[in-house]
Amino acid sequence: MPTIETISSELSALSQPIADLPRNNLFAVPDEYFNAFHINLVPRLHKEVYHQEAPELSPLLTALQKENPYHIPESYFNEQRIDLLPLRTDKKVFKMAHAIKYAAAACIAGLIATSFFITHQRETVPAATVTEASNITASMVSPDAIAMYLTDMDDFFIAETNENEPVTNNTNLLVDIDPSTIKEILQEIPINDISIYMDQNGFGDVNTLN
Amino acid sequence: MFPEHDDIELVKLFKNNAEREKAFTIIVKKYQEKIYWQVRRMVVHHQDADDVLQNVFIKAWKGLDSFREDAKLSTWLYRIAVNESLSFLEQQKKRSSVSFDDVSEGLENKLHSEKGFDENKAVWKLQLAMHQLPEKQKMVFNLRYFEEMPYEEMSQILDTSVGALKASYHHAVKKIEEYILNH
Repeated sequence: MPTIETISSELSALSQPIADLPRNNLFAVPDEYFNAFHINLVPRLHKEVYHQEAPELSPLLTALQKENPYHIPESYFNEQRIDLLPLRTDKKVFKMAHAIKYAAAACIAGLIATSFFITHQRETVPAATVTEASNITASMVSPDAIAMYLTDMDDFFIAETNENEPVTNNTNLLVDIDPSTIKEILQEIPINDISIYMDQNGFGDVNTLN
Repeated sequence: MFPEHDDIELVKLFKNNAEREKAFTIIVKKYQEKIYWQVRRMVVHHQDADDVLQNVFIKAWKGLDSFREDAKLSTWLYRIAVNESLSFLEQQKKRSSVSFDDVSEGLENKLHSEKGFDENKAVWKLQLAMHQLPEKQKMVFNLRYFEEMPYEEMSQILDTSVGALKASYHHAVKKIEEYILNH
């Protein structure tokens, strides 16, 4: 068995600076810690070892004897009081698993039927709706009103085409007409009509056209 | 201490149900301080050391019935203390999910918060250096340097051969010396 001297000399051989260090205790410990440790240990021992609280938590309950106050007939547990075998045979047992399967199948069938019905309705409804709408329109609007509406729409489309706007340059002419053609057209119009047109529009002497 | 009770007698007393609590109180009072300091040097904070020490004696209570009298009671208690200390440090590592280097950094910080800490004093430097060591090496140094424990007993506590313990202690002393000289 090695002595403390052996241990010290081993350390001196390994490291003199460490061997020279004082081995006093550096850490602080609360006052009376070691005197109270075993007292503080008891509650934990009771809790962890006996799985119950310390006796001092309730001396009254600790003092009570843990006897069962209830009474049962003698040999109760030795007698076979219920015959369990008939319950196990004969009668059909309703199994929830089967019921769930049938319910799921019924739900799927219902979904398919509903979706087919809705699809069929969507296909037939538009035709019927258009017919009904035209009948309602015919009964509510008079033929005169319809005619007036159509005339207004014609005027609207004529206005949209700009055909009646005065020609200020050649950009809105639809066709090119050469001067000889214009001369021929003008020869067919009486000279008086041309003079009146020129006077009304401020173009001056009719001879300037030639 | 308790010269009138040797360990074999105490264990026999414990196994007698009528004397169990009395015997256990004597065992606790006899070994609490030695085990406490061993644990305290490993976990640093008093509160942590107190928790570990309580666990050590609860384990001892649970296991004393099956304790074989061919081993020394003190060796058996030290063995429980070593395992509990290492479990505590392992739990701390898992809780903070950090590497072991960071755990030793945490122990270093705990040392800094200790009352009377002075990093210029060699004795505190030795504590700081000790927490740089791997856990097992730290344990070997602790038992040999502070507890002056023979290698044979350490071998039973740490389940390691005497040769391996000597080598481990040698490395630990050299590392600590280097740390003290360089800081």
